[in-house]
Amino acid sequence: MSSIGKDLRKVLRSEQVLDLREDVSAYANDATYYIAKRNPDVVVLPESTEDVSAVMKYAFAGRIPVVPRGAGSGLAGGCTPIHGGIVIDMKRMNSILEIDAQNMTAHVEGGVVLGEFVKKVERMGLFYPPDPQSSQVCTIGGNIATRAGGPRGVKYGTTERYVTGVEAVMADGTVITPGGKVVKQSSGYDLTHLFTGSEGTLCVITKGMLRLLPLPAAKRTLVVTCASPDQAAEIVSEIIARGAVPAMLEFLIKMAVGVMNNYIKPPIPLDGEAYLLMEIDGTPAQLDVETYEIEKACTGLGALDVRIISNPAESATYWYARTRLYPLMTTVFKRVITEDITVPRNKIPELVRSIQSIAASVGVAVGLAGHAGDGNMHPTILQGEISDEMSRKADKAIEEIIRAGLDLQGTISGEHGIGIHKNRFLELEHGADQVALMKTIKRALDPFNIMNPGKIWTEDGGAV
Amino acid sequence: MILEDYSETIKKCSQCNFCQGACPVYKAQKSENCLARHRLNLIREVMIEKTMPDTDRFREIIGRCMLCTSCTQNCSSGVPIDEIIISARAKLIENEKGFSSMKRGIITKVLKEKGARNIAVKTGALAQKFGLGSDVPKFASKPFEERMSGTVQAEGTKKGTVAYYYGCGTNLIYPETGEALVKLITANGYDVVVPENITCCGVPVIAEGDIGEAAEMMRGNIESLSAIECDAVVMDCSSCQMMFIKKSAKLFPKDDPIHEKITALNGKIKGAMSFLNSAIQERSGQTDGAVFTYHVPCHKEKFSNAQFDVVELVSKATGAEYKAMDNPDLCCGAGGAYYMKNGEISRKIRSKKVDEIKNSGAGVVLTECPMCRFYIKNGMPEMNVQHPLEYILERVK
Repeated sequence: MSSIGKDLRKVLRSEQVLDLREDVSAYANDATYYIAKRNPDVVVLPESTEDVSAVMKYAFAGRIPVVPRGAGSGLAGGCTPIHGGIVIDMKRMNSILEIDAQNMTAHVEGGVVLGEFVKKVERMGLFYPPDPQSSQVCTIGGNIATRAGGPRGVKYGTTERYVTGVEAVMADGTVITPGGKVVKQSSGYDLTHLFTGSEGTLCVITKGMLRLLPLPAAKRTLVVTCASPDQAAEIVSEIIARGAVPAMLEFLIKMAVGVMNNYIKPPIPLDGEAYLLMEIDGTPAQLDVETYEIEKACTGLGALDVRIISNPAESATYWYARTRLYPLMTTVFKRVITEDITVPRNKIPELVRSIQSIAASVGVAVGLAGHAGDGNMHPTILQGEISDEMSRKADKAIEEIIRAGLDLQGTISGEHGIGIHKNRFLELEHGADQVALMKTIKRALDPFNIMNPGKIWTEDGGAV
Repeated sequence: MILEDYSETIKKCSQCNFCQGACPVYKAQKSENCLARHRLNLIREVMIEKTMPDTDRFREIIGRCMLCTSCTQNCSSGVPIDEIIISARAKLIENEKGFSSMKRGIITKVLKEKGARNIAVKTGALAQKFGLGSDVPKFASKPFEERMSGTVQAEGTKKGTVAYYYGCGTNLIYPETGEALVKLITANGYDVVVPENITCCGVPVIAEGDIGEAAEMMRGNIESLSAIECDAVVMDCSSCQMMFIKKSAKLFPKDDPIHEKITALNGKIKGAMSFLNSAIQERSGQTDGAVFTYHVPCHKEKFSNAQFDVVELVSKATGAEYKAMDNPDLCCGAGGAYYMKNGEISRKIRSKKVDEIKNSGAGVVLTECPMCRFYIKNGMPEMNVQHPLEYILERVK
């Protein structure tokens, strides 16, 4: 039994503390096992804000690193304990405290599973749009901490747009509750949104106050078959330019659709090189107008086929398959590294062309998929073999793609967060002054650097 | 099903952690050391790559999987998680002696041999008389194998012949399920052959890692069933059906001649529900206000509409109204005999199921699995829990 474990058993029930190697190794990695795999010394399973606060007080006194963790389904290594220490697994704090239909708000604990929450609000005729495609497991606390996105960004924005307040446990165990239930607030600094996306480096998010929308009256799925990735990208820009705003607008190359066909019933015919998968929502009249605009954009640019999927059970298989795209890719390739570069939407065609030429010049296979409607692409490095040579090539391709995205006024991460996967690129996007300012804020809130150390920026300043 | 056979497929785990959405044990414990992903990582490190020592805690973690197959069915990377865990257990018990191996021997004997079964029935009855083992299903006074045998003739014009493979749950605990099945199928124009020389399908023994014993049981079953001339082989238990269709071939070496018979037999196996669904007449007339809900056993094909064939059949045959619980395919906690060793976890899982059943407002819970049936009933004694075939028979009489 480790000494940290022994101490924490005085603070929590024994069953809430794990410190055997066979147990804590479950927390060594997130969904990106290839970039970090170090066991934490101890894992705690808090059941209340008080539990979290007590653990933080202990860690603060002992200067022990703390890593808050949601579902561990992240793609940037953000919740991995690269310096050991204590992992705070938030998943037992999973109560939906309130759904206020009158004010259209919800108050939830950080460990609430997104999918369960969504199911509940939709039954009440309400709508919570952000869905990073892992809603079966991901937690709302994790969504807030990473400013999670997903395909609905195009019409509805991402998590930060729906967070109006949080309860946060600070490095020294203090509990604060910035923001609140009000629609607008003009008093003081907006700490809520400072913490949203802070990836566990400033505080532990124990609760969230969320904004809800009315559930759209109707929705419709469309599938567009395109002759080339370029054509698909042009169509995306044209759809946006025409003022149609799909709720989801997904870009998929043929190979991605091929693996998704495992779940799609009946499967999509693979006669195109790229596909656009869309959902539009709103009143039935709005759907007709948008369908017309989308069809015009597609036929005008020579799409091979536009299909409206009118059977809801059938369209559900498309969207289910989309949520499984990442694990499905790993059945075909030994290693899959997914990027989330995001550019202004009219730059999607240029980005797609750059990625293709980078893939060709570096000599790696790059899969193209993404929430193209909001400018967010997921160029995915697909490795059939694992070798040092491949890793070097992958790193090179990632760096070039990131630079290409930044040249197009983009961001290095639209929705996955930085974690340790992209910290070497942070300065490229934000510049030295801005990163220095971020670090000043970090030091003010976390003087001993115990909150998820080593994330977002490199500690040794080793930027590219 | 040898661990070495899985040394490549185990690497297919993408670490996506979506197994959280499926695992009932995880959902009760909310701790990632219960997850399939973690078990696969541990098996790899301890038993394949041998970079970590084989410890008691490791064995405990591998032992705590219920083998419900939810994660396997949910896994987009297609990792056969349950089979990897079974084959790991098989390797772990290779040199095991003492109490657990003795206990395994006794269970196997009861499942396999009629003589041992008779003794168990008597001992069980005696124990229950003295108030022992309320947590253990009570054996029926007369097992199904002593109630029916041979060929039961079809009523009316004969459409064909089916063989009936009854599981241990029907045989020893709920023989009325078997009687209902025979009555309903004969009433719909089929001769039913009740074979005499069949035994347990092996699900309870592979759960303990005893693959060799399961293979022996299965070989006997396949030989017996293959020898019967029939149009279909029907089963009333989703676990037996899974064992025959998805696992039986994996119990034998690739060059074993049994494979030919397995393939031929698997083409004939049908769930009793889907078999009756095509045979049974739609009931005319009005509903009588009866309301049922349905619990999907874990070994049924999940994540597809096929799992609701029972709902379709019962609605069609009885006119009773279906009210779904929130999560019909959420595990009840039994996991075969899992609950006997892991009472606390199982009760936690069950309490959620019980709440959902209550909230559904139904007056009866239907489920095919005898262990789900026993365990749900055990958790809510006031509720009527039945096999769908018994329910149908009661209402169409």
